[in-house]
Amino acid sequence: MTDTVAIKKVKVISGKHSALAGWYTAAMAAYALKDTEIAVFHVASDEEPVFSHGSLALQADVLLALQNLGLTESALVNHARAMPFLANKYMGWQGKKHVAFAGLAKTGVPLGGVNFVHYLARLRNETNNLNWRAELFSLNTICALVGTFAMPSGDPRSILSSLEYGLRVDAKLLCNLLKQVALELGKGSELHADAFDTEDQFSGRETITLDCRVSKEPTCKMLLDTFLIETSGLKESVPRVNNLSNEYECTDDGYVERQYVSGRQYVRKFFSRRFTKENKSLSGPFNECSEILLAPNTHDVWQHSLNTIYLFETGVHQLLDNGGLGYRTQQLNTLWPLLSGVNSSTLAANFFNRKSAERYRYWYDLALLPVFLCDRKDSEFWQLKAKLIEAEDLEYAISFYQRTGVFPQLEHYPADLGLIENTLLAFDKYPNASDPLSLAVEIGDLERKLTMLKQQIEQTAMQLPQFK
Amino acid sequence: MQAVNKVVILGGGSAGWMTAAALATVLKNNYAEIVLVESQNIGTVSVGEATIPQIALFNSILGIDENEFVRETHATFKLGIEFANWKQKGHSYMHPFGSFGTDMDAIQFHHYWLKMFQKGEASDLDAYSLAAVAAKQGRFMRPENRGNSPLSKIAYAFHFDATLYAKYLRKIAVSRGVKRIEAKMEDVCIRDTDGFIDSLVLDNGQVVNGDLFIDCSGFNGLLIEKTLDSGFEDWSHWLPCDSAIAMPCLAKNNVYPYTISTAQEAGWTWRIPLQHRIGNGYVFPSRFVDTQKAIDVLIQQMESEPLNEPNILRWKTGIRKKSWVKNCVAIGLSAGFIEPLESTGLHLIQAGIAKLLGMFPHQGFEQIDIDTYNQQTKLEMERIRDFIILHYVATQREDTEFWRYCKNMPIPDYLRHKIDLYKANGRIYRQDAELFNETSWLAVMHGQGIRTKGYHPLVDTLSEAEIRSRLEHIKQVIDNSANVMPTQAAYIEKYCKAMSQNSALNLSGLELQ
Amino acid sequence: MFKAPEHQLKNIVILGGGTAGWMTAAALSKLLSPEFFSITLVESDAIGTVGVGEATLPHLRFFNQRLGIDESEFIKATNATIKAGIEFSNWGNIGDTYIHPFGDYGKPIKNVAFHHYFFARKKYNNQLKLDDYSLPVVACKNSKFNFPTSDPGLLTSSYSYAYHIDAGLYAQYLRTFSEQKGTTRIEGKVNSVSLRKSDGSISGLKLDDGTIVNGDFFVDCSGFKGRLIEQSLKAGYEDWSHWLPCDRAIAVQSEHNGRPLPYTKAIARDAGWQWQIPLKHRMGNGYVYASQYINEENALKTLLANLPGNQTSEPNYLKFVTGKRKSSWLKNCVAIGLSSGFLEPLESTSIYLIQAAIMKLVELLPQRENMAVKSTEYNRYFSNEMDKIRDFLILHYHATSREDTPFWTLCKHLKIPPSLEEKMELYKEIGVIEDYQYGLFLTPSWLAVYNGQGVIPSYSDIRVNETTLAHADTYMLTLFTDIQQAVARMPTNEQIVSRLHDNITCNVKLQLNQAAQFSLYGRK
Repeated sequence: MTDTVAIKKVKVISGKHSALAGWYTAAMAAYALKDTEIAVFHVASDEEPVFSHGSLALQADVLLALQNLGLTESALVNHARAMPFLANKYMGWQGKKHVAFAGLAKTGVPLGGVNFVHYLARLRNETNNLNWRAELFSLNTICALVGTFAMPSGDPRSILSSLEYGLRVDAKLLCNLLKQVALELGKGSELHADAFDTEDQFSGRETITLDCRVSKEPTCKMLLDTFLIETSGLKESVPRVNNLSNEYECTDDGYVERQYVSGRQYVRKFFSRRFTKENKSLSGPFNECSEILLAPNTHDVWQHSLNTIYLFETGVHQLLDNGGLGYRTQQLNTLWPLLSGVNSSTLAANFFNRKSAERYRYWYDLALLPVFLCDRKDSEFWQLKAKLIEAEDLEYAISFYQRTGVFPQLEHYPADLGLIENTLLAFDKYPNASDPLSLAVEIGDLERKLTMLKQQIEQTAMQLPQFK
Repeated sequence: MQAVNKVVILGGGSAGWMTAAALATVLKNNYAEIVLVESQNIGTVSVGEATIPQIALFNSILGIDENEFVRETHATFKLGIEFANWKQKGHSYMHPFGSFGTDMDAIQFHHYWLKMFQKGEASDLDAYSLAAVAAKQGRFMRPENRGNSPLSKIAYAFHFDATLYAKYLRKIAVSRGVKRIEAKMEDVCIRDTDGFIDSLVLDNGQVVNGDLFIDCSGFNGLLIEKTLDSGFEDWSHWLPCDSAIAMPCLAKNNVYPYTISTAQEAGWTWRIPLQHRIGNGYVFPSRFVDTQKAIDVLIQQMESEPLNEPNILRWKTGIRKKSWVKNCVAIGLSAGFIEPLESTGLHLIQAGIAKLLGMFPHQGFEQIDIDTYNQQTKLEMERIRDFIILHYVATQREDTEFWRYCKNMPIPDYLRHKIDLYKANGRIYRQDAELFNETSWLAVMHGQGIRTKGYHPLVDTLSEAEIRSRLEHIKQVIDNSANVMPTQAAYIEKYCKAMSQNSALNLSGLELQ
Repeated sequence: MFKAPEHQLKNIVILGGGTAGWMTAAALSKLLSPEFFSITLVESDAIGTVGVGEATLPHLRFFNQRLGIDESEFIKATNATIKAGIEFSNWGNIGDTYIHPFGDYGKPIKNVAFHHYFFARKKYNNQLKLDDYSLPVVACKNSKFNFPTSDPGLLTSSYSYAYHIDAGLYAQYLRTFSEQKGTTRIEGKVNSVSLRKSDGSISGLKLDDGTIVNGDFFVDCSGFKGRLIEQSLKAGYEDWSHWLPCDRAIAVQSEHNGRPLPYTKAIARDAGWQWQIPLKHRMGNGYVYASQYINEENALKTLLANLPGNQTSEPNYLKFVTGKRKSSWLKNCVAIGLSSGFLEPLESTSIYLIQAAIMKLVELLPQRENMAVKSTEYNRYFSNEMDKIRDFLILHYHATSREDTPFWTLCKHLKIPPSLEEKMELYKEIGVIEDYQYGLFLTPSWLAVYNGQGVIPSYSDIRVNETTLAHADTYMLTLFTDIQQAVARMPTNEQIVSRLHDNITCNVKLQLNQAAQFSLYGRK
């Protein structure tokens, strides 16, 4: 440990397609290291950046990190066109007419210490009435459906406390905000250069490089390897839509994601080059259109010998509605405490790489969840899907959930799998067994209780103001 | 040592209900609880069943009224078996119950007869057996106390409907306290300490615990084999028949008091007369005859149209390596199977029951008791096996591949010795607790055409004339005795006529409800 | 009236009536509807239970609350005293003493863990003690205690507490409780177990007197031997004695000075360690040792020479092998308690592991069919709990400077599990403690032991510098003072214990039965 050289510089590198990632990383670094002697630099590309996510859907984890940077919700609303969302809407995944919502908040309310879903599953199984759907018991989904919204209540007795929302923001505007924050916070200077030609400028053991660029040579193929992006709504002819859900529409060769940010619609189409030879244009007028190739980065995230950490601006993160910011936030928060004495041994790098691999598995599973759950078999893509997708943990978690109504405790999955659970229910993956403890309520009584809850949620949702 | 408190019998065919009835009779004064588990969904193998005289002993242990028993099971009487086409096509002989002639000066009758037979001065053997003579004339009566007359020593058995027999025994057993559970066994529970059977799990969810388990589950041996892995000794190289079809028909010819076994090109057919119908069957080796062919042959040879679709049975001849393992005793087909050529099926059940009663355990289950039981069972089965093999190996037929195989197959040492001993000087020894006695061996060895070189030398202490006159006298006595016997039909009419077929069916219909 | 589905379990049979057995019976009979489930417990008065004086963790409060057990009633029934931590003496070095508290040390400052600032300051001021920044530690050292408050903003809510109880009395209490809730108790010793031929699952138990107890599901609380899980089902055992070499214990009761301390004592000895667990009227004592390094006679001598008062019971000798059952749920049998594995009671985890197993079982209560789906997950869960506790226990032996006896030399140079090695290396080098998502002992516990046994990180967090330290100094001073003042206001533990046992005033009652967390450290 005698050869330890203290870290003096953190160098963030981003490219044409990774400006947002670069500025987010730079801002986070500048904030984390602001009281230190460590300088933060960001080497960004001179080219006009492409925002592969026209918009981002952000939930509590990222919003909290942004808040630490001083980017409050009102800042996001005022400067990044932020607009709340309550649910994900799935269309055409389980047959053409399939429409289902997965709310952000937990479905129902626990009765007698037993998870609500057990009662719901029991009611469905015993009355054989499949119209009892989870969506009916979530203020999030009903509000999303009828287009009403109010800020959640902090009072746990109020039904409004069960509402949870996320924010969708314009990626380009968010990037600008992050750039301002980074420049204000850090001693870092903005360097424009072709990022790939700057390798030598900051070499030396006292510098650690955080490389945010899309990997140049993808080493393995992914199921969904391409996406197209489109932003609509700038033209006057397109009506402004204030939709409180993010939409996911299943197509023959992948799916289309639609997000709404203060009247604008951002569309991304994901598909596989293996099954789609030509660019298929998306519906609606194009303002921007770009094609991006996806591939996972398979080598170690932290290459100790190079003093470089690759923060994955590629791979599965592009599939995530938050553009991978959730994963990036976790990664960066893990990184800062490891920077002391990092040059002396591979210990910190090994630890970081292990944690990264574990987390990547979770985000990968989350990104591919609807694709995994889709039971379509009517096109080549969907027929081959089952063979191409590998999600061992997800498979275990889902099959266990369906058998038991609870999720297994997987160390690298978050404790709260509420959104995954809601998605499973939206895809009709109800548990086929319920907790024996749920037997304590007589079935008629249960039906009455659930009917009352359903009515209460409906009434509340209808009474709330329309979102404008 | 603690007594066996509960006996569980699995399976309710002849074996199950015979065991249940016997135990219920013997384990009196609430000595132990007896439970029998059976399912109506599992068919029993019961066909028309022929027995041997030892059945009387069993009936008497149960205290059964024989006339009632005959009525209820639509039985007829049986004085022996006729074997047709076994030695040669067109030849037949009788294996009668009871003895031939009478021993003289401590020397067996047949030695005197052999001497005269070799000289061509004696009638064939059947003439000296009352059972054989009466059977051929369709006559029957039960023995009556008439001093030295053969009429006081008439040995007989029954032909009866085994399904009705099981039903009849069930009535007796249940009336004596046996608890019947209608269910299929789903699983068996084993004691972890010693591997004993602890309980049976039934498909109705019930768990039946017991101290002693009797496996009467048939060929499969659900407990003795599937649970306790006893093992099976295959005898099919000696007894290649492995299939049977059975079909009843109405009697067209006279109902005579004997079974007829007719050798076919491969295997043999049976004709077992009951009061209202005839049980027909064809026992055949599937390697030589396909099932459809067998059905055709049987139907062609039956005296009238079949009453039912053929009932097809398959088995493997052989013996369970141990018929008593831990706390489980196999009785019936689960203990082993020998084709019914000499009507030994029910006898083996009865013998198993008798031995079980002799060795009845307490909860300690002494291994030496169990070993002895298994030794005895094996010996008994092997002797019967050898006697059955005799029928096949001592043939003169070479007209089909089957018979050529039988004639030339290697045979067990015991049988070889027995034949050789007889061939030399006509001597026959009965060993241990061998079931078939000298009369049986003589009937079959001679009937199948085995001829001796000599005879017991001491026969020559009597003059030829003396022997000739004595044999003549015996034959005369037998003829006279037969003449005083009623026909079987008359005898049954008088003592034990079953109700008409129709009313009997109605009755069983009522019972089912 | 409505019917349970056919595939539902009906008869649950618990074998063994020690702490594990009666805790299981109590939980199942309370939480499962008696209309659908029948709970039977088979125990023999002839088989002794291991129940000695037992130290617990705060989770037990959570368990009692789930069962609706009144805290003051429980305390009286079990002769309980309060504990807010465990004191370890002579572990890092002879003469060293530290307390592992049910609470944490300071709060992060500017997103950097408190201990980084502490160590940065301690480098220049050796008088600084980490202990001073934990309320429960300072309270323990002053023999003081008060019930934590519920306002998460207050310092006085930042810790938790547990009990020292008479485990035998607890089992008795739960027996009454369970029987009132419909548990059937059968007195008897198992003669044989019957296993289904088809799948090897357990069908029933046959007792010595011939009684047959059939069931759909069995809970093996028969103790270390694992009458069902091991002797019948042959689950197998993963031996950990190469990591945790103690394999014997001698337990004996004694008097104490009448002033019970609010913590358990674990005093390292030449070939193991000695426990002192103060109950209301007596002290539970024991010596856990490695038989390879000391014989029974000398171990007893050591124990008797170090009793805090007159010996009041005959010594009770225990033998064990540290390790875990390879599958603690196999077929239709789950092992709870010592039958699922043995970890020495160094961190009072025995009862915690019982309750964790029970709660997981209740969560995953199976149906007749397809138990394997649930047992796989259960075993994964339980195995993870055991592995992580194991690593934490090994840390106590391994993080030592002692080489004064062969036992301690062995421990110091032990080849430890890779999971522990990575964890320790990361801390030694840069002071990082990876928190478990699922695991019992989290950062404050590891910090307490590392620090108490002399393991200090080589580097501070890169963000610790004079600017941030200036913030930290202010915070530390405030925290130090607040803790001193809070402890000064606390009653002595002796007062608390006598209040709990003599006349419970309304005041005390108000403080009892506060909603407990499933955590070692109180509110977060």
